[in-house]
Amino acid sequence: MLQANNVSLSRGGNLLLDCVSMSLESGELLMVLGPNGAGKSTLLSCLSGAVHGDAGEILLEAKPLSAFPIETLAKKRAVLTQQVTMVFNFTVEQVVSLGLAPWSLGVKQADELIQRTLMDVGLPNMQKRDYNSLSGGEQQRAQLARVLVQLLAGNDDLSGCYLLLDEPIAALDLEQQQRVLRLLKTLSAKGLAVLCVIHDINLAALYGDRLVLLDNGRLMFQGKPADLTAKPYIESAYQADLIRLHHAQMAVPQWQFQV
Amino acid sequence: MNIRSPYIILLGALLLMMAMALTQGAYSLSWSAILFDKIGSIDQQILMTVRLPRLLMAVLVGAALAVSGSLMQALFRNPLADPGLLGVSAGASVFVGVLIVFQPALGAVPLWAKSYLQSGAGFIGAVGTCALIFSLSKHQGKVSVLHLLLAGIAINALAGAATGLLTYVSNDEQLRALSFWSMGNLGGARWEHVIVLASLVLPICGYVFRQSKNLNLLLLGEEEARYLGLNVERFKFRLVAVVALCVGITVAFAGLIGFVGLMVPHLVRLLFGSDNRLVVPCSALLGAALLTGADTVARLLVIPAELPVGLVTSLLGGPFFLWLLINNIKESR
Repeated sequence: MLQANNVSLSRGGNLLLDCVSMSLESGELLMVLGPNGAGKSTLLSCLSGAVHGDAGEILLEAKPLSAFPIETLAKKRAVLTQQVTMVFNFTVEQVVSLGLAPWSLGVKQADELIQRTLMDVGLPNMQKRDYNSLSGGEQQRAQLARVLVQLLAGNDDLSGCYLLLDEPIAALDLEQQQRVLRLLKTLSAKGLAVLCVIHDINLAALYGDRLVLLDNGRLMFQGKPADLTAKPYIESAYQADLIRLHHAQMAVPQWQFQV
Repeated sequence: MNIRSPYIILLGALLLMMAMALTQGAYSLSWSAILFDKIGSIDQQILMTVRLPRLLMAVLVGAALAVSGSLMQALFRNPLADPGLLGVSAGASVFVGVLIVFQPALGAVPLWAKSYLQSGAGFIGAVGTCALIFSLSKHQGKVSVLHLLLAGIAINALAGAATGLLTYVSNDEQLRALSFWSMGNLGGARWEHVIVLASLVLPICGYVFRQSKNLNLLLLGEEEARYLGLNVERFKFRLVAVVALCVGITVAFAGLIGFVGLMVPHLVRLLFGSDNRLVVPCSALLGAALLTGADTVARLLVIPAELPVGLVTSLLGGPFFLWLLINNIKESR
């Protein structure tokens, strides 16, 4: 379990996180929601250990995150940040293979894993393409493949692994959004703990096992999608005129814009 | 392309350049005579005391500069980064300038000591500048690349002003010595220099080749590299130390040689791709070949005199750099 206990963080006089406590459990897909500037990416940075909170603590499997050497962390926790640019021209295969850095895999084994993962993220036969010639959505999926191989390379059992993703479907079309979310669902069913910062509240409610809603650095809601209907959490956080509906197949809420 | 073929091509180029450097010059040596040990004593003396140390110095300096360039470009994630950017060479120049201008005040210096004094001054200047750069760029235990760049710009500007001041107060003879030094010269090569250079450059190359996988991680960004298990702060610190050492030692012995550090890694990437596991060792080979070739050209163009080698590399590098710039502008449109 990856846990934030009363984490607060301020930068330049602004309170970015205000006493946030939440947890990410093995085998779940946790969606982190919130308006722009709510503190979603900041929470992800804290959970990944890139940023240290001013107060509170981050615990990984009941030990402080800082107690883990970064080499150990790299083998059980992968993080995808919002935008990764490559200045020099790498092929897709080379970019994905960077995810294998914590491991020492044989060439054949590495090739197979990369090929399989690229297929999973919807980039088959793209190994030799120049990364910089890909579209934004394709680059995003290539980077997703990179963080996936980082965990898949050395772990037969994913239940001790954590995947933290910052808006992994932001640049994707509908087909690819569905593909990636289904893939994350499949991986979490195998024991992987997945945290996904996401803007689409409908997809979050549909695919997330649990949701975390942040607003102004504060935790507004943590729980199952169906429980979002108990109070107008979404409506008050986003300040948009919304109509709440139900999904046609699942017992989860969905929202539409009011005209 | 076969993974080995870049090495074969570049090694071939280096050997060709080395052969040219050994045989060509104001005094030509026969290749077959060298190979079959049929050379006279004068020829042998030329070979052993002049050509061979000079050749090895060109190889080592070229490799060191090109490897430093590839490290700088990975560290700054910028294809236009150059070892000179840190200000180490400019700092070393000031010390050598001070020595040249104020040497008369030291009294009579024996001729043999002169070249050691100059190298020593360059080295002290380089090490001093390195220390300054470290203290300026290390903030709360972290090396900030932005601070490194800004500190480098400031040091370059300061050192440029200091060197300008030195040229202002120097007499004609000193001025000539100063400007010659600033254009780079391998003419003073001695076996002692070669030994010192080799004992620094070869282990550094070995270290850097082993670290080339981590250089690739750095290209993803510092945060991403950290998530992949790289101790980024320690690694950056070591990279800066390696570059500063390489630049310092080459400047001390060979003066300012421009563009090798910028041009060579870029050429390698154009030819063989951007994977640093290939870029770093190939840069070493190509840098060595290029500087050896440039030095041979420098010796041959105005026989019996010789051109400063830095002039030749800059003559090649200037147009190349412009081409790079224009291409970059076109691509970003």
